[in-house]
Amino acid sequence: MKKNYLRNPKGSRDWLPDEVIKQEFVRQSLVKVFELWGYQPIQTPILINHDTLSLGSKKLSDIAFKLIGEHGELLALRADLTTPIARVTAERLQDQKKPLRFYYVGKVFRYHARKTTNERELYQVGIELIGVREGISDLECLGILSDGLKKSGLKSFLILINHSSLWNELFRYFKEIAYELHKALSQKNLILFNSILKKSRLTKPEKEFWEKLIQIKGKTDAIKQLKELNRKIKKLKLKNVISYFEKVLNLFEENVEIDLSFTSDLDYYTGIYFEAVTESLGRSLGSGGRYDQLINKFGFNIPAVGFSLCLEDILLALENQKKEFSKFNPPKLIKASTKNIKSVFKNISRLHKSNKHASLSL
Amino acid sequence: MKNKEKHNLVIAIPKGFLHDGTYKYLSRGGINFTEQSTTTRELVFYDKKNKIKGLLVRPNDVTVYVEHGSADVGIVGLDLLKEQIPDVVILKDLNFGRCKLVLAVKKNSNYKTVRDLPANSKIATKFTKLANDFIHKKGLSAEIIKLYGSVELAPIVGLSDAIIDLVATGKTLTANDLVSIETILESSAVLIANPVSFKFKRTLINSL
Repeated sequence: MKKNYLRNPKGSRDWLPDEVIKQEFVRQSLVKVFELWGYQPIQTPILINHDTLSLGSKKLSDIAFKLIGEHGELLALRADLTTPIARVTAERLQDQKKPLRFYYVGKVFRYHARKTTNERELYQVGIELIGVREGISDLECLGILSDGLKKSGLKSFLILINHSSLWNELFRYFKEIAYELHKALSQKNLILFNSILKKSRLTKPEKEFWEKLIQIKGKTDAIKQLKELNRKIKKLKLKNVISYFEKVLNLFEENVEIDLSFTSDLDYYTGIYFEAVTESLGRSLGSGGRYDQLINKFGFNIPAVGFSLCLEDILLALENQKKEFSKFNPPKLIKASTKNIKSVFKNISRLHKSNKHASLSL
Repeated sequence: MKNKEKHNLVIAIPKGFLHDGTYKYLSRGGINFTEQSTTTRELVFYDKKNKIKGLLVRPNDVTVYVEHGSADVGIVGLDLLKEQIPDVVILKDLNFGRCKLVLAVKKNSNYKTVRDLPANSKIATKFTKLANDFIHKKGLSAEIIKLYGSVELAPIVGLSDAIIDLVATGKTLTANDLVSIETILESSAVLIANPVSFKFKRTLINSL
């Protein structure tokens, strides 16, 4: 009779040794890049106060696992690492010399981590650069993301960027209608977008402006298009955001593009926001951006920028690209009995010293 | 997205109601698949000239293929899109495959409007999410019974008081002595795209 084994809860998984080897490869290639750029590891607890989470982002706290503590307090499992790191920065690192450069590798827990799969427990790998305002620190962040993805062995990938001040300016100038259009875009619903636009009282050139704006995607050509569009509505102040995009695209000749139809998934970005995608995976590998107000919510007014990647997704993309991973290196097996065990142990330890894998033949 | 070297684009095409309209629509855009797959059992077919691959799938599964990126784009009814709410880019209304999602009851019943339905009435449907949204919006308390087909049968055998189902011509309703008392959604075929495909293949996808 076959025994019925207890299973893992929905959305969690085991990692067997050959899978861990692959996971470690991805993790180590990313960590290596972070360390070369001068970033230090940081760890925060998995169990957190629910308030910490809800203070950071409503979207995240909605999908977090909640628990009741011993005395009835509401706890949660962390749903990202940016929020806990923001908390610890405000709590313990106010006096430290800035900037702070942190990297992390850790599990996050989310109901509906993503729509296409059931996973509720995922590894996030990422960095936080804390204490520097918008400028070349954003470029450092993008540079690390690009280096990291290259080092992990991904063949073709794109980092798509946009900037929240583009939308802030659209909100200021177009008011109500811009919010409605933004909402339609964040739902990726272009039918809704076009029908709102059609029904609106905007002038014909304004309608054309919106239609063209959300199609803008690419490098220098895209900037040219944006400048041209701006010329049609001169009162719209896009000079700063255009020059920001130019600075980014000047530095990164490949793998980075602007995409103005792209709205951010998280609600705390205050500057650049971006996502990384590759053709071999139908969803983004990770995302990031600038969040100058997040740490302030925990009582310390300091700017920051960072990103996080989903380790499982990078691994899946690499496997889809048929990447070869190194295999388990089996140890040399040495026969032993109670009589010669002492000398066999000495032998093994000698092999270990010269970094050779050796074990007992059992 | 495997075999991406070979194919510029993979399109998920629904069997059934939207199938012929989809073929006509694509053909107007210059995409012609060599195998008309309704007659054969092939599930994958090609337009070699444009390097496009077509996947023949169940209407319910179009969003699944597109969401996972196994197809770059797909054609799906607005009804299914609103029922499933997949994470895809909703590109455009293709203006064919028009039909309505309606609430229907037996012709000889006393229910003339939604409000006439009894408390805790039973509604049979394939569209449980849309049905729940509807009864919530109307402030009804009704029990939704999930069926996978031949929904018209439910009121006839007393399984439910009403049904929520798609109607194109209304012939099926009439044949089963049912009458529509409220339109919930006007549906037509919609073009959707995988969000990542939409980033890498935007020009091609926009040309569809």
